[in-house]
Amino acid sequence: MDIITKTDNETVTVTLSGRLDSTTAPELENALDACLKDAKEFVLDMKELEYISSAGLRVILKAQKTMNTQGAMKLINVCDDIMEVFDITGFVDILTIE
Amino acid sequence: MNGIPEPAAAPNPAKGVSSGHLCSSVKADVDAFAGSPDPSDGITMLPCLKRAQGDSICTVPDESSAAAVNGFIDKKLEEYGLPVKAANKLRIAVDEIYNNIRAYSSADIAEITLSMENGAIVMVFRDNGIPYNPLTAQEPDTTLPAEERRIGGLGIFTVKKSMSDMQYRRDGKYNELTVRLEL
Repeated sequence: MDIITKTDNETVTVTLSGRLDSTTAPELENALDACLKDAKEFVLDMKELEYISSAGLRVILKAQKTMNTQGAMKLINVCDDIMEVFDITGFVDILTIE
Repeated sequence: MNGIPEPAAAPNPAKGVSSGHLCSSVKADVDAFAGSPDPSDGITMLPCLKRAQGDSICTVPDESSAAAVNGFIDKKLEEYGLPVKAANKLRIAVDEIYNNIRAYSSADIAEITLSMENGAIVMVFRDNGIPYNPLTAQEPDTTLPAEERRIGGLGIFTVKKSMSDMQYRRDGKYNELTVRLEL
């Protein structure tokens, strides 16, 4: 999985491509731990993500909990298959998806 | 050869029927051919089911084995030529189930067998870990807010929702989980 991070003042945008699963989730967790420290706004772009497993959901949930105390978080460009996972798991009610 | 069609090319009107119907069909064909057979002649038929053979990968379920497992699954899914959506559902199922075996079962042997049977992909996960039926795990409460959500149980929950069927059995020293996805 590729992770591209852009920081613009206090807005952090992370773009993912590939697969977010148990082998790649730790890498994303480390990246977010580092880049969200002072973020007021976090945008997660999922345009190139093929699929997400529960390991990935855990990292996204952790980020949402962090941003709930610091500012705002939203997901953009979520494909239909991943949206289905968010629906099934109830994450659609926890996350802001545009 | 000799004008007799090769078995693979021979017509098979009984293809896909149950074993009982198959025996009846064969008996009817034999009777039609034999006409009035000697009553002392007997015929015994025993239907045997040949399960589709799949490919397997056997591993020590540690962290370093994930790459080999993913490579095996990718290769098989490519051979089957599945639609992307179905292939990704299966990849997710492998990630969830194999990761659970690796993290919680204390198994030192894990095997994944993949096959295509009657228009469905069948995956069988076997491990020699502690007895555990993941289908009995309590389902997570998906209505809780972020601060109260736990991830435990979410993996199997999503696999249950995405697969057509899941079955578990304990086979001697092995856990055996079979998942099936109709295509």
